[in-house]
Amino acid sequence: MSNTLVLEEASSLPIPTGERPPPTKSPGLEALLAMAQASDFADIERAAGEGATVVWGFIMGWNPLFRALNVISGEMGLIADSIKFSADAVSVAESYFQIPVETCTPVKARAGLHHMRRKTTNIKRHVQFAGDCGMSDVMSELLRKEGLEVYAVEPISPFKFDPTRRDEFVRFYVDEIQRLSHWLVGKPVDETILAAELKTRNVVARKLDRILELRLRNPFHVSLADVFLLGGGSFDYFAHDTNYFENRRKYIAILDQLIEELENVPEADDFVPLLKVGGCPFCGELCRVVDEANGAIVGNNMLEPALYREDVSPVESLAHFMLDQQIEGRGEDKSGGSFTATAHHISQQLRKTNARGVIVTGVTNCPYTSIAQQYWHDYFKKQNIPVIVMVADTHVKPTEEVKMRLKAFIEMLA
Amino acid sequence: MPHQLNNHRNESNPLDALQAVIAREQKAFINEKTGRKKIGYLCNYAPLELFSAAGVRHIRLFKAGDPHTVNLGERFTQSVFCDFSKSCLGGFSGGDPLYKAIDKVYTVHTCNTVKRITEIIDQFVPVKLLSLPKLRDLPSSRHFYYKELVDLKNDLEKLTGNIITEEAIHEKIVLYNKLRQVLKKISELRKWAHPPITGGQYLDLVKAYYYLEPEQALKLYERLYTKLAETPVRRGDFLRIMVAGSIVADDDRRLLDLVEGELGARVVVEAHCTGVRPFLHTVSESGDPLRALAHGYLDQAPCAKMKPLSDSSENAGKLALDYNVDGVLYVYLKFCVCYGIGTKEFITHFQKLGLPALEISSDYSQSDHGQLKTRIEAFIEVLNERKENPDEQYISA
Repeated sequence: MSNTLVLEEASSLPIPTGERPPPTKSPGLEALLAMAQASDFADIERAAGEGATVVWGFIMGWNPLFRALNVISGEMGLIADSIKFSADAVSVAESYFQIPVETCTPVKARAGLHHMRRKTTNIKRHVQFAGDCGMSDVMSELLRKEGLEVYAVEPISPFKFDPTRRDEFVRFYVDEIQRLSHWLVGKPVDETILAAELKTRNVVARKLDRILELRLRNPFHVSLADVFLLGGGSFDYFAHDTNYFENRRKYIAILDQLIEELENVPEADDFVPLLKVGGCPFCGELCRVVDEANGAIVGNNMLEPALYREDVSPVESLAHFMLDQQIEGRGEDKSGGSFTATAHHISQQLRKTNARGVIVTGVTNCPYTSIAQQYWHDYFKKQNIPVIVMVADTHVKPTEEVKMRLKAFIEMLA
Repeated sequence: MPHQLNNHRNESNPLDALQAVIAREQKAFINEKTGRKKIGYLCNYAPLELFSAAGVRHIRLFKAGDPHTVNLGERFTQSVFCDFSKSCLGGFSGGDPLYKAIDKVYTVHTCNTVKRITEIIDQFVPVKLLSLPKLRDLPSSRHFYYKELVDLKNDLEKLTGNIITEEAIHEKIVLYNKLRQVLKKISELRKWAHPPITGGQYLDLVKAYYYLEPEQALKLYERLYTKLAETPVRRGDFLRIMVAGSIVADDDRRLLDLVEGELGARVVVEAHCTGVRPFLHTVSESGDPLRALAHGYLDQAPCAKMKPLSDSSENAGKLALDYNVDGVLYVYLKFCVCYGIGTKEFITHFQKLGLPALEISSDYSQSDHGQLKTRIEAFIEVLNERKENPDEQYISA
């Protein structure tokens, strides 16, 4: 259920009445959806009950480590369920945890859900990247009193990174990776297994990169809502944290199938290519609004062809990856990255994709995106790139006003 | 009934003259044209000893408390951001003369809000952000913070052209230890039944620490301590309050004026980052001075961003008991993530210690004065009743 949420949301909407007819169903996407539907979060809970190592939380970019250690993160399932049960969960967060009303819904909903399930869940450990969004970070501290063992990974804050300190920073993260491995499974990670995980992930990344490149010809065959599925259960759709829907061979075969489909679909008529930068509320219904208005999101700040280095030890490779995503602003607040650096990367994507405008998205009541979205807005405006800021609650459907603004923006660019 | 505190200032009293001294020093900071570099910094994890050893003139960036500066900062954020951080941005964008005089800003990544505004401040003045380990008991964290301080030292040397010697750092460690100790001693006078200093006056002393040259501040504090310690012991029936929570900026006296001025209670201790809390630790005066700084600063009474959060709440609870408080005002700025989301941890801990606590979420607008007054008044009434009937179950709000 965690993996299908975005597509389910998009599919449940009425067929658009705009100019663009719904795209032909892609057999590859159908197969991917079937995989996602078969991958049920309840399986993870069950596995935890049967002795598998399962934790809450995740660390952006370090999922290959989890896989190499045979550790499962239940966080995606928690996020999906926190959307489903948000009304109750938010209420619990505000009353039981006394989390201020003005806190963003995703954090309140996850906190509330943890409390609601504290007696029934088999997952009793939580891993927290201390450089993650500050709200999630402090919220994780409250979980200690809920009977969870909470473990924190130390971050570096490399704003205005000094390249002469790279080795030092990499060593720091290498130590953090080893410390985390010990906490997760009581021993260091097997570097041969980790190297194989990184290699596989790079294979997948290259395929995804190709898919995204082909989308520039016809973005409607695989719309943005579908792109989330491409991540394979990942938090970001470039699949750094993919679980391959727990069947990597089949998953990779489907990616190949999609590449073949995309190579053969006719080029789409004139459409408005757009980039998205910012937090994650912009999925499901809003993606459909963009499609309806003949727009297409062809890139975002998560979308970078970043590969794990294969010329250094795999643990160092993970360390470099973390550092680079922070320096370059990939993953933005989830990776503790620099939001001013994110703008430079979006600029590069603008050149690569010929996008005509930028949609800046933010989560309602998120202070961190509030400052970033203003910066991005000003940054692109200064370069005479049309930009619109859309703020939405991740757990509430966007209002008609929000949708109308977006449509008007795209019409203006058509 | 509690005494009504006399709020009239008497300029011949060194405590009352403090504001004028601070204003003079701020002006001197703005006008100094000797070529000496001037820096601003955020927050308590920035090692002032190193700044002083580098020969820079330094001030803490905590000039805030008025809604106008907040509005200026909202040009860069939405309203969903803490007023203190917005004020920092407002200070730079509005061209506050004090902030305009700054050559470089050094920030430490405590909360993510500080990290975020660092990137915007960089549009106005060069900035360096230091990483801050949150797991202070780990040897690797301590070593990493030491390396950050080595990097900071190099950066300051580049900025000033001065070589920072170990002897110079050591000398400043000794100086700042004396400063912290005397501020702690002055604070401890508030353990008396009738404290010779109000909470507002103590915050003014702390304000001086962040604006005055350290040598000048030390002389002033030592003189004051001698004078205050000689105050005849008097019987006191004030309600003794602790203010805990997020930062109280240098011009944010709204709540304090209400509690001490209008409602006649006395703030005797603070568990926030601009009260006594930063002065509870000392830095080792032996060994490698940079390592000593790294250890000393990580060992200070922790802010809520340090892990685990219970370290911070337990420290606040200990302070409350040490100062024998009747109740705690837990105050945080709206959208302060650390203290806002961390509320339950603190309130629960105070309750466990039998300390009534009132949670207040505030900002720098002036619109909620009536509401604040009503709530605090009710809380104080409860505390008074509890004081008169100590056997009754405590009430928390």
